[in-house]
Amino acid sequence: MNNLELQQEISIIRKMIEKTRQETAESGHLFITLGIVWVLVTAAIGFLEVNAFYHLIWPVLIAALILTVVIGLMIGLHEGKKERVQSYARKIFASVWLAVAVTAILVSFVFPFTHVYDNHLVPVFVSPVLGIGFFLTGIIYESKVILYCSLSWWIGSALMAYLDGYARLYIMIGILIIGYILPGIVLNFRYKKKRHNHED
Amino acid sequence: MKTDAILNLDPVIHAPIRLAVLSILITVEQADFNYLKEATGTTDGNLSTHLSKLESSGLIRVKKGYRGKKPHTICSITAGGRKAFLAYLDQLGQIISREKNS
Repeated sequence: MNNLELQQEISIIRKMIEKTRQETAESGHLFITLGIVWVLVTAAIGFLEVNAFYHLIWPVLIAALILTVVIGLMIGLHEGKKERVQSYARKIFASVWLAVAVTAILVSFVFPFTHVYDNHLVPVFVSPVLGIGFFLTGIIYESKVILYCSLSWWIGSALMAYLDGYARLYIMIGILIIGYILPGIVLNFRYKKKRHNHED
Repeated sequence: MKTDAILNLDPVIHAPIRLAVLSILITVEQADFNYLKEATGTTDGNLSTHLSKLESSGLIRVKKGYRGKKPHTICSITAGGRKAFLAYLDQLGQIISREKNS
């Protein structure tokens, strides 16, 4: 084996690893879609509270939860069908978000429904949980922007603990845009860029 | 000494297509046949032959199934395959350092 052959072998290994890295990107569609859904749901709950339609809040929340599960399954199955490579990063990403989703359901639905605490406190408690999800997403996909976006969940949670009423509502909508939709857009941008490079 | 190191290189991994397949599979949990074909730039028949060789040597696992109505083949590296590939890289490293020193 001469120097040229050695270089060729190393070049093959490097090329294949880099190519596969480019293949394993997250589309961000789930975050963008669910982010928009939850901005609308949060605004709707605010509207219902202001107009004293308290009896409609739980049905709206349960409908939103069902919609979230349906959208999650639809996007997950659709993207799973297109997936040619299953990376360890994606497996960890899916596991992190499964754990976050289960905890978020407990904190947002089960605990207030069983009167562990008042449902006004849901945004305060659920935000740090989602913050963990986005923080780990930023680590997994090596994105500083997503890491910074994840901070909005923790800062927002602390602010919402002090503020109430409209202020809490506006903060929650702001966090959903910065901490939920924006990471989705970042992931989607990277996904499209990698796909574009891959096609070249 | 140099000849010994070269002779010790695993002949199953040494072929470029098989080396490329293992380089892909070591970085992911699994990859499908079409991806491997596209990434290695080879033909269906050629890739099938190399995959069979890797599978019969116990370096990879090949699962044949269907995605919808189309046949779908998924490949993943085995624990033995991972070990053999890392040993191969070690040997390459040794050859490079010997080349540099000589």
